[in-house]
Amino acid sequence: MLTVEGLRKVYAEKGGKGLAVALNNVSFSVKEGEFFTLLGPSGCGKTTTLQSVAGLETPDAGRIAMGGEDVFSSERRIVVPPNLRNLGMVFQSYAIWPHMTVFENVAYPLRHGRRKLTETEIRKAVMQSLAMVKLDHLAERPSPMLSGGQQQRVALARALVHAPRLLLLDEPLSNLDAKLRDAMREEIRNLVKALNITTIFVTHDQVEAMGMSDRVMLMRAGEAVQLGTPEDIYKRPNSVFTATFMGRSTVVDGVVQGSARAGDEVVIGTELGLFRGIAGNAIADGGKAALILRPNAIVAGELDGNSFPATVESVTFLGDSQEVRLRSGDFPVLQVTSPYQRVEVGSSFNAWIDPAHCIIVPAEEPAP
Amino acid sequence: MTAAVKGGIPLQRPVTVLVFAIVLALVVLPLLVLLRTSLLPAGQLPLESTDVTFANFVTLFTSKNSLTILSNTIIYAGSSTVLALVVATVLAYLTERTDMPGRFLLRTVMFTWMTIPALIVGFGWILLANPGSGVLNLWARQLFGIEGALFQIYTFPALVITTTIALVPTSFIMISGVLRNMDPQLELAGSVHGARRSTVLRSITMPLLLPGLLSSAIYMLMAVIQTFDLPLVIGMTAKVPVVSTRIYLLTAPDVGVPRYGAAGAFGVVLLALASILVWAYLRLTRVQERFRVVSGKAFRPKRVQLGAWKYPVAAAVWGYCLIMALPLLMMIWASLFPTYRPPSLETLSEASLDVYRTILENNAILRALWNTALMVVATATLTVLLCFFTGWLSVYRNDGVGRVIDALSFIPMTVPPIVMVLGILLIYLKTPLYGTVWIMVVAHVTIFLAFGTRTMATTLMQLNRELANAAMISGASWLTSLRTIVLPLIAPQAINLWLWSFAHAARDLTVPLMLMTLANTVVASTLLNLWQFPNLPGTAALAVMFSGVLLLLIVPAQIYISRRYDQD
Repeated sequence: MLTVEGLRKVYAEKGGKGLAVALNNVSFSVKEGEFFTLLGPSGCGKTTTLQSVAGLETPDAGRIAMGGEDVFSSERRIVVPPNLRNLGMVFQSYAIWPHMTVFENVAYPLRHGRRKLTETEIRKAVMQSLAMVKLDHLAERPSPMLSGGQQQRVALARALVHAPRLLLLDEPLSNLDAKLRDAMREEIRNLVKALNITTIFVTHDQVEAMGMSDRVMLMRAGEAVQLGTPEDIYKRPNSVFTATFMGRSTVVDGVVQGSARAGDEVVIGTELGLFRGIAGNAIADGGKAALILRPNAIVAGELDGNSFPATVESVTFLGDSQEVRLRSGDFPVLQVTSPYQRVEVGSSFNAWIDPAHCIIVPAEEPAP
Repeated sequence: MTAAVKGGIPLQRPVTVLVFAIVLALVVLPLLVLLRTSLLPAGQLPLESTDVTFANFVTLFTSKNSLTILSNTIIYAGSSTVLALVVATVLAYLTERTDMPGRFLLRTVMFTWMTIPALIVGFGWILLANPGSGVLNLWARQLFGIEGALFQIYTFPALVITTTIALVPTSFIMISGVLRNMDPQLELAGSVHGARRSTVLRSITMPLLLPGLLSSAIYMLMAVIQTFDLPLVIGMTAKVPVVSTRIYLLTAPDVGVPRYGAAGAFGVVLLALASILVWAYLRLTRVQERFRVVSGKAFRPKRVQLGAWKYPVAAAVWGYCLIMALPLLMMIWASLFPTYRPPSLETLSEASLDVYRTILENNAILRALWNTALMVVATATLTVLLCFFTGWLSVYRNDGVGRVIDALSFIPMTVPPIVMVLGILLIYLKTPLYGTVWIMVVAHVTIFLAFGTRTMATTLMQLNRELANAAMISGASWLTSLRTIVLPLIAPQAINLWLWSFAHAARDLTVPLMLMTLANTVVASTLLNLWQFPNLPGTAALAVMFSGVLLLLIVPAQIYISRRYDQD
């Protein structure tokens, strides 16, 4: 449905000296009906990528195709303007027009879009779209008199009313409070899945990304770092960056014995001892690497490899779970357990990690 | 690398190119022609000659006459500014910081007064204080038996005083703003620590106000060195030529041919003078931003109790306002009699509106009224339209194009209107545009470009860009998104700018007079023509009608805006 190839964008740096690379050779493709997420910290290029897809930014080089039709191609010198790309978009600020009613906001894409509709057709489509987000009873309300959550729904109705070929969501949940955010997350996912509309979602929140997406592309400093299903990326990170960005973990530096390709089993020697695990990425023979220990993967077990003696230093009870801070010699390790498991501060046990849950990735290079 | 891909949002490129070309033609062309003209030998036209000479500048800086003109200008501007600053500071302090009765009314009166064209006030002063039949002199003779004339309007001091009075309302508004932005807690802290009121005023209030006062002073200096109407009607008879009237006379002499080269040289000198002032102004206001004394809404100043001085002070202030209003009252009186009669109670019974009837039956005047209406409406509309695009481009185009348009549109701020108009006159002198209303529209739009672009840019900066982007994603073209989303959302500020341009174009005399032919007279130039004819009652009646219409249109809007400003 959407193909993005070799996207590159360079900005003049503020103050006029030098250039900043916003996008460097970004490529991906999205299947029909897929929920695809661009994830990364601020400044990673995810928004620039989305804006390029929308046509609000013009990249310096690369190609963007939608349903087989080029909407941008530096080689063929094609730039289709945003209004002719047939898209729907929900903005971070929602961008609900304050001088119009809810109805007029949602009717806008039908009135000013490519297809000319009669007033009856417009009314029918708008009310249908509003009913979809459960706001049909507020159609005639002036839009400044809406709550944040309602504005978000209007924005969604407006983005979907003209049946666009692609729905773009630019951090739509970041301005909502925590409870509403959880509810909207599910609602948006259910809605776009029911409509089977291809969706590109931009966020900096890995929980949102994992909870909503079919596939996630993690970005950093203008480049794609890893692309896969949420489970893949969480359980098989290919770098220290991915591992730490996708969730909390303890990173233990070490040296591998022998070389490995991604997915191979490999042994790493660390301060905590020898561990067998799965290589998240190719690692050279005897290369510096890092062992990733997810806090949920640590359990009590025998001291016979893939284990270390641990002392409980402190426990924080969080309700849904409890955080246990362990220490092995001088090395701090984080463990998360069920709130029903009794843990005594000061007690010692043998911590063990299943080799299938140990991830070994190349050592972190200094950040670019 | 960016050049690899052409295109983007359709129409944005042609519109950008068009706006850029218009701004370039409006702003840069007149200045280039002006520079060229200042190097022109006598008796030649700028666009028809390739000769270059520095004779104009040599004459300017060696002739005793032109050195007098320069020193006149500096003394005139300096003394009126200082006087206006003193009066305005006292009035502003009384309204903002004391319990003087009628302080709110005083603010409204000051706002209102800015609407009355200075030309009309100048005529009023001449009726009041001319040495022969001036009303004040007649009364002085009758009441005190004074021989000769006590009040002499045609003198340098009189020119300074009338200019001062005309300048006070603007400076009052500026200084009130400075006072209001100051945190009164700083003064309070002074008195808590044992200082007396006069000590606080001297050692805390004044130093804090100084940067604000200085920048207001520079702004006013700029206004006076380019002012034209009072030096024309009072200064010429008083034999006090200044640069602005000199430029006018060189281009439209009573006898002989225009001396464009000499006028151009004076224009360049005036431009240099103004540029220095603008540079100082920008520096000062930047310094002010840095030392801005932030005040919260919660800290409304405690007003100084005037006590026993309350009523004497109020009487003095309202006495001043009466003096300020005298010229207009005089014009109203003069408009009521077909031949001029000195004011007295006996003659009042003979008052009639006959003059107004005659005026409104005069075809030349009717045409001037129509021209004025056309000129001000076209000016206001085109100013808003052009400034919307220049403002948009300077905010949303982050590349060189946006910055260049931003810089170009600021230039008219530095150029005294008379200099800009001189340039425009020289460009269009030999084209069909000369002698039409439209050349005046071009001149006004150019002069208003700087203020208009600033206004629109500030407004657009506060508008979330996603609002317009959402429209384009929804399928609207760029122009449709501007028309249906951006314009409606900034409508209040656009209407404000429209009214501002309307009022300023209507009351301006510089542009109509410099560009006047028989065909394109407007009210301002007709007033001057009637006065010089001389048709005193006709001048008075037209002036009163004109002021009335302006007041009715502008004052309600201004009161509304200042109310809204107060609520913020």
